[in-house]
Amino acid sequence: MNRAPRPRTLASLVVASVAVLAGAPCLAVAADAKDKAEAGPTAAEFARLEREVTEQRQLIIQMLQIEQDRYNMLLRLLQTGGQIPPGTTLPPVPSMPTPGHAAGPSAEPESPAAKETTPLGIVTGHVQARTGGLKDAYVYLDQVRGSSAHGRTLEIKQKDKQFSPQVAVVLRGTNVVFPNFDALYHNVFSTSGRNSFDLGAYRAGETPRAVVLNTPGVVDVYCNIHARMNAAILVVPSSVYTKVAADGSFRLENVPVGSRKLVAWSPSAKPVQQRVEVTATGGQASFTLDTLAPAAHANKLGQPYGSYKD
Amino acid sequence: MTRKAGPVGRHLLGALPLAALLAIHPRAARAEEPTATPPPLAEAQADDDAADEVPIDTQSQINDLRQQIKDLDTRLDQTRQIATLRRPIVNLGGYVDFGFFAPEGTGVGIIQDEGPSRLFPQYANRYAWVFLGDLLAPTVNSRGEAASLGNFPGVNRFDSIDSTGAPSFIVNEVNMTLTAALAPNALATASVNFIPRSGHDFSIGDFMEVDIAQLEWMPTHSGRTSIFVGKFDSVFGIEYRDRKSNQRFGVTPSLVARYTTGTPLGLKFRSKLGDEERVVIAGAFTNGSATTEQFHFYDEIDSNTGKTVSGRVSVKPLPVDLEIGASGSWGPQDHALDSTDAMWFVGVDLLGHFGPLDLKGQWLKGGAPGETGPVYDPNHRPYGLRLHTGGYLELDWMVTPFLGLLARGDLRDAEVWLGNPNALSGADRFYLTKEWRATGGVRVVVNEHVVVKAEYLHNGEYGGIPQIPNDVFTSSLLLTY
Repeated sequence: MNRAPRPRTLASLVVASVAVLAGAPCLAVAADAKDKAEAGPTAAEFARLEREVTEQRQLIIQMLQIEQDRYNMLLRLLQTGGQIPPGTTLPPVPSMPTPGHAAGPSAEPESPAAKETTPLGIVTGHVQARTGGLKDAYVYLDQVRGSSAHGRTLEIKQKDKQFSPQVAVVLRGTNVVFPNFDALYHNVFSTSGRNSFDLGAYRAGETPRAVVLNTPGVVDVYCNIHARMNAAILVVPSSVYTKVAADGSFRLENVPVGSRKLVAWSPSAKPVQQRVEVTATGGQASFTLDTLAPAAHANKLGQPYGSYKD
Repeated sequence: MTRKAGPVGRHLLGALPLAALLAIHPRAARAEEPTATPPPLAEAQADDDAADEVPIDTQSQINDLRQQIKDLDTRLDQTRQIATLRRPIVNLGGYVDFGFFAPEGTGVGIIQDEGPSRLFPQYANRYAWVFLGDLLAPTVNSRGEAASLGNFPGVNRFDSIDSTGAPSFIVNEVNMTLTAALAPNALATASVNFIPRSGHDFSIGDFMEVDIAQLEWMPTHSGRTSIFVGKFDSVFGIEYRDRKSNQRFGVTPSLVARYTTGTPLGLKFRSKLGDEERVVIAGAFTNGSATTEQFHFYDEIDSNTGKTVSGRVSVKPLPVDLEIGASGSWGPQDHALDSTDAMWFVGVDLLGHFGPLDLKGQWLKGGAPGETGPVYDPNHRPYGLRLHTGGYLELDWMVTPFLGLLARGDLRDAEVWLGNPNALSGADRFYLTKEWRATGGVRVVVNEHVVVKAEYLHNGEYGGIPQIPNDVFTSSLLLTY
């Protein structure tokens, strides 16, 4: 009995599919980009490339998920005494999700298998501002790669020339939609690194595409028409995050034991990171954040808004 | 040896169509012609064969996939950098405002008070010509141009539309606005209007106008304070904020827009203070007043050494989006050669945004003595003004994102004259205005770039002035770019 060819076939197909998805189109895009490097990309080309990369990244992540599912299944077969071909060695389970604490609407359910294998601890502590108070502060575990939030969607409304909510924390991979409930046009955009996007102008009743936030970090969201509209989205790498209580205390659960990097963040302060030794009995951390003065931001072209663009 | 697929095999087989589907997806999206789409299965098989050459160790595959993500991200970053570096310094925007209007009567807003049966004989001995009504009441567009100025004695005006009461199509304005970020906190703006009009006697009537040429510098980190230099919007009241066709909810300006929506030259500052910017202060130091250029007042280039000081303070006292402001201006009379006599205005305003409803209101009064001496340079004769009261209240309602309705009530009670009425020879002419106006309008937002607007203006007279047939239907097709 030889079962090896089946996984091999799938693995080959996966790689081939990814090659088709990522390689061939990208080669074309690369050649295209090279040709146009002299003239510079147009906005449409740039948007197309960005869209393609986003799609390809999504597809690759889906592939990774399929692989992960396959290995979970194989692992379960092993644990339940399923037949294993003699001489066949299962590949190691990739280090995928870090189990997390359900601290918000986008938190992931914990993986039982991972929970059994990874010792976890609880980090408690305090977050304070050097001057003034803090609003909407969070602490999260950084430098981990947890499961992404496939299929999860966060809605940030635009109403009365304001985003609502103005602060949100989402797991990487979350879809974010920005419906417009005002009777005028808005143009939602962000220039925050790899999470940049520009939805163009649309009004109530028109549905813009969802934005997939794949890269952990802060995403500052603005309206290109109304300068006073702003929102901040914190994209966390795993579901290990928690909101700081009004008294500044926090309790972060399900932190893997070891030397871990924690980050404290608030939309009104500079984020602060700290390495914490987490043991099975827990860990301690305290953060002091420097609050930020309100700062002007540029429009999507990188220019100041100018007069009375409110 | 053949065997049926077990649970794992079924799972893997189930993934095959998905992988094949994923594999063909981008290509299908890129295909411009139906025949260009390759057979998905064949291509998947070919790729499958090729993929046999790569290591099948799953961890390696995952690493390869992650590397591909990194490569894609790198490529995206590089492309973004190229786009950023090649971002244009100057942005060009603007609009075309095309309209159709139909005035009542001759389209003229005034009548002459003359003859033995004159209605206001008290002015007969002091002024050579007395006119009743409002020259700019039969407005047809956002520029405030009247359907016709008429042909009256003692003056040869530039009657830019001169429709003589006929309904007409019109290109109200072609605007070109240039903006350039000279620094992260400095923005240069120039707005030029092209106005095609009828020519006379082999001359072309088209003209152009520079209404904004300013540098805005935001010296603070918060960007909440701006300093302007150049030719800019006034600081008086609120109507200047939507004086342009692409900013205005409806078509026409109010009866008092002529006093507040001009664009003077000089220096200006504005600062927003407090949480939620609940207090805004603004001030300007300019050549002349904030009157519009086509009215009797306004100094583009100053003819006297004194300058006009104006300012506005506004507060939002309630937790709703309601702004209440007070404005004032004081300075030498426009057109005067000396700075002896002052022209002044004071006013209050309110501006509220309540969901789809906008409420706008303004009231003001003002005055200028005009000519007080015996002899004036014929090219620099200041007009006299007694603006007893003037104002408007406007409600804009976006019923749906596509359809909006407008209702506005206006009032203007004013006297304007040229010459010295106390001189032995008397003054040249006198305009007595006791005007009210009711305006109803509709706004259709076709899309981001196309808006259709229509208004009906009913102009009425009171205080002994007979009704002048000068209602106007006007419309605007606004194309922004």
